[in-house]
Amino acid sequence: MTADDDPSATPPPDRPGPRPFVVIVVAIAAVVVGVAAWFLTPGPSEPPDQSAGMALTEADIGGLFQLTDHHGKRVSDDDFRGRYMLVFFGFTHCPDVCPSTLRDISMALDHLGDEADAIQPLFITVDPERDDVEAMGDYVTAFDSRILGLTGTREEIDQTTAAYRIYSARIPLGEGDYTMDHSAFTYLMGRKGEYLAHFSFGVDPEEMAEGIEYTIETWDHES
Amino acid sequence: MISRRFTAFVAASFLFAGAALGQDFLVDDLVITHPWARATATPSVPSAGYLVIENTGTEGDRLLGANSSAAARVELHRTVIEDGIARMRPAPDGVILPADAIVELAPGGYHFMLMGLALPLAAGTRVPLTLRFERAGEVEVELAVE
Repeated sequence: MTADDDPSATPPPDRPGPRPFVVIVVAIAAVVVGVAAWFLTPGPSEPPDQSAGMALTEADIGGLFQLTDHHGKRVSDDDFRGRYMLVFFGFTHCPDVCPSTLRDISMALDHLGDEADAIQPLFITVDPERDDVEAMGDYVTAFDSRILGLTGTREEIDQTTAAYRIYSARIPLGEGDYTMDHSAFTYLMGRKGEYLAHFSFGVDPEEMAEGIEYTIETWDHES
Repeated sequence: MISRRFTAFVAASFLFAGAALGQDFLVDDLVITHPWARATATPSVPSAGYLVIENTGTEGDRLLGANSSAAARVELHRTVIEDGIARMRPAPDGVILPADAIVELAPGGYHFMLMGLALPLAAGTRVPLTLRFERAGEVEVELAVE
């Protein structure tokens, strides 16, 4: 989102500098485009009811993805048709929000019992540079064995985060280390891959399970 | 009969108090409870440490940082979640501990980052953590790995 994170913002080396006027015009244009994009991009939608930690709304979230799971197998969104997907984006060097959420998802799956059989939980990295297949495999084993870790090339991840309206940005921590800012929603997607609901960070696992149950019942009656 | 029951009650009370105290660490006016860290499957990813600090005194204090023999580096970080976006940043100014108040280091907020782990943190084990306070000085606690 910021110039620091955009590799294309780096000035090309060894080229005569543009005239000041051009610089100012380009700068103004960039600001105008940036501000317009900020207001026009829907981004991760605001949950209408933050207190309940769950929202059930129509939204243009989700879509095609082609990624590699933590066993090294290529997968696409099509492979999960007929099942519900519970999708969370994060990264393995994330010690706080990601393990908390994956633990909550694991507990929600336990609360759901047999009903969880219809759900495929997915943990998709926003940091494919560090999160190769092996790193994803090591990380997800600490949680419920039904959670599938997904990674891919930078392009594949960018396509997926764009489809799911996931914001992510690399933030340097010094000494070559970095962390990732990222949307911390958990999405519940339907059997045709469509968006059904999302849960905010910190939702109680039992509430998440009840929200999933409620959503699936509602969805099944309507279909 | 009554005296036996009373004895049992007293014994149970001491056991209960003992169990509760087993998790507590005291330094100056600070009471530190439930120190724990997140289990990690590999040493290459950082873990997070959490605890609760009660300042029972009449003066404020500040948590400055910590170190551990289990990690090359320990940093205080804070996660802020705004509009659904999680942002984690170092907290170089530490955590203010007002007088007569309880401050919680918990998921989605302040936490210790345990970086450069010597070994993965296995659930059920304990790792030492030395806390540094502005007024109270240093105290070693044990993080229960969960």
